[in-house]
Amino acid sequence: MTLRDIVTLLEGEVLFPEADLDREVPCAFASDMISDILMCTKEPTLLLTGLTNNQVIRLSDMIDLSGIVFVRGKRPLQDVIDMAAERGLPIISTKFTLYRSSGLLYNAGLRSCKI
Amino acid sequence: MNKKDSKYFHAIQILEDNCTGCTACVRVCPTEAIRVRDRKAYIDPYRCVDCGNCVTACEFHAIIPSSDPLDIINNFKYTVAIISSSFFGQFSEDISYGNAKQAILQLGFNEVAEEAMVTDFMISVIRLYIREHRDKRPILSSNCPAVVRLIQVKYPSLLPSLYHEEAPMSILTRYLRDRISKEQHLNDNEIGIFLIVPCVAHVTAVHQPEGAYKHLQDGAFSTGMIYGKVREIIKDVQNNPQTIDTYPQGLAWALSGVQAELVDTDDIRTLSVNGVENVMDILSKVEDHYLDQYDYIVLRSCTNGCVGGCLNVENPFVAMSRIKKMSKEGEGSEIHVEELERLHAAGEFSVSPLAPRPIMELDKDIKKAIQKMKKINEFLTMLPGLNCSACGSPTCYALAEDIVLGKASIDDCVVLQRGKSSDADEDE
Amino acid sequence: MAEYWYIAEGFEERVNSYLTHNGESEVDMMFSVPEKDFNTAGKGSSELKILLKRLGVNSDILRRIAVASYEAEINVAAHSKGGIMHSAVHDDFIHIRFEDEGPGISDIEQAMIPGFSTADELVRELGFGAGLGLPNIKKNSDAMHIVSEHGSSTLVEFIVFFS
Repeated sequence: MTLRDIVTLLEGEVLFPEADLDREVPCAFASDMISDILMCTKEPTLLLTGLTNNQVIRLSDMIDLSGIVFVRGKRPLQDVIDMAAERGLPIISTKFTLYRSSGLLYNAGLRSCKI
Repeated sequence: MNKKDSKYFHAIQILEDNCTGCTACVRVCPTEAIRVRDRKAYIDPYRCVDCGNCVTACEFHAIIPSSDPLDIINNFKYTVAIISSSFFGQFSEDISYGNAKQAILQLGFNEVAEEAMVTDFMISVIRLYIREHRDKRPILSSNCPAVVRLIQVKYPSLLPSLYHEEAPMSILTRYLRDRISKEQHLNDNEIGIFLIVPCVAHVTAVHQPEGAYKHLQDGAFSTGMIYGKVREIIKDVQNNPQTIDTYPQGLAWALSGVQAELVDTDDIRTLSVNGVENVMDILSKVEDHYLDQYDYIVLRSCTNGCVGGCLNVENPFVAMSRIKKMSKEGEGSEIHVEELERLHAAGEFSVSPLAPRPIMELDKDIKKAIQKMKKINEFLTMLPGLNCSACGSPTCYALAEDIVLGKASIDDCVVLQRGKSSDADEDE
Repeated sequence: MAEYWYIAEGFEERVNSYLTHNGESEVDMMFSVPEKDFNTAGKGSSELKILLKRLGVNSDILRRIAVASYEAEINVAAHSKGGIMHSAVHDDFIHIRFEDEGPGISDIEQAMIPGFSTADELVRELGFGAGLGLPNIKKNSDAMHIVSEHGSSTLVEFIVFFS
């Protein structure tokens, strides 16, 4: 599944235009707890989350993220968007809840990341 | 405080029901020994040095000192109370030194002795030690037990610089045990010797003496507790006064500044420090050899010395002024030092070298320590840097270290959990 | 342009190996040393000491590093227009660099003589300026390097091995 497919499935909005949406996404993880997210070190993971602080972007310096989906219509502030753009990390916002977003992607065949 | 942690005894306990998790204690601990987890405070017994800062800081009566109840004297045939010199500063001028001491005797002891009895002797033996150990200068005083423990945990390289002999109250204890067992024909376990102490560090020192190789005192009574009992019977004592030996000149011993002044002489230069933050600052300078011009440094963890201990009733400045006044009044009794000198020459007051208990090292292996430090620095970039201690660790650095050592999680950071990192609010 | 090199006996191989391979450090610390500010002067060395205690560096070696670093830091505060202290911890040694903005040392050999000092009144009044700073750094380090030009910046750097 590519990021483009994911944007379509989640009726999402891409938050900075230069994001590379043709990237393949092997797996996903959904959480609002940074300590849990830090466990996804094995493969490039799509993160679904409600956290919009800049620490969540810094996570991509420590673990491999394919991209971040902010759920429930949340949008981070501009400085956070700029941080993501600097790193070339695609970020998307969707109006769906964490539960619905996870369900939609899982049903479409996106598996959980290996921990 | 768990009783199961008997490896490191501490005279401080936490009353969980009263603890609100406010973190006031976390922030004042000089060795960062306290953490709040699930809104309850926990003290790491390995790091705690019994300085009592947490007891003073707690507004909810949740961290309290523990000491022995008076009735333990009933377990002994002959009992002696040794009073620390800061004790008499607790009483207002209407209660005389002699009467207060008599009242203590009437609480049920066979005999009452005082730290102030041996101060002249102490000055001469300290000077002797300093002159015999010039290569280890500056020598650091060892009669504040909190300072000794602080050096063990944070400045272990300074352990050899400690004055390796017993403190005045312990010297008196040995002398008394010897004398009483001969005079009264009693076994050691029938003689009960108790200290009346101004702080939790001394309570711990009685229950877990560092470096002493023989059993010393049988219990420690809090100055505050004894003060209360003395006040109950003081009227009675004042109506029936008896002559009792007093030692006013020796009373000022425990005040910060006095011991240093008394030991200072032509060939001995001394320095005096009080207050635990100041003590740490000076110890750090001693480590770097920036205070080598001094022969002896007197270090006290509490404000103004022992009058600042957390078991005291009176304000440390008021108590200090009272003691200074008392020490100028009246004639002191003589104490016979020949026996003390004999015991000293026989090495009875020596203390064995103390083991370090280093708390700062991340790992014994420097390569592993470097890797841990790198991880800590990574977490530090994620933490807000407010040092607010809402997570239960004293500083962001401490939380980062706790995370890497497996004792906490980054989700403990309350500020991170807010999910926003600036003022603008989201419409939800 | 004046330059000064010192490598302690027995350490030549390890120092040269580092200089040729220029390996990356594991942990870094930067500190700015403002000119003539004797309240903050020494803070960088204190912070460094805490870091090294956390790493469990042997206390005798730690003291040498602390003394050398303190002397160098005071030098920057007392004699220069201000500078930067950069500490780089490698696997088995530490490399500390002090770079300042001038005015530079015209005769380094002379500066290395114990007792020689160019300190002004203010510095001497505060108890510094005994002329022992650079010799003290040399005494406490395993390798030392100074580059300076009169009227320009100065670099004082040194290495201490952990074992």
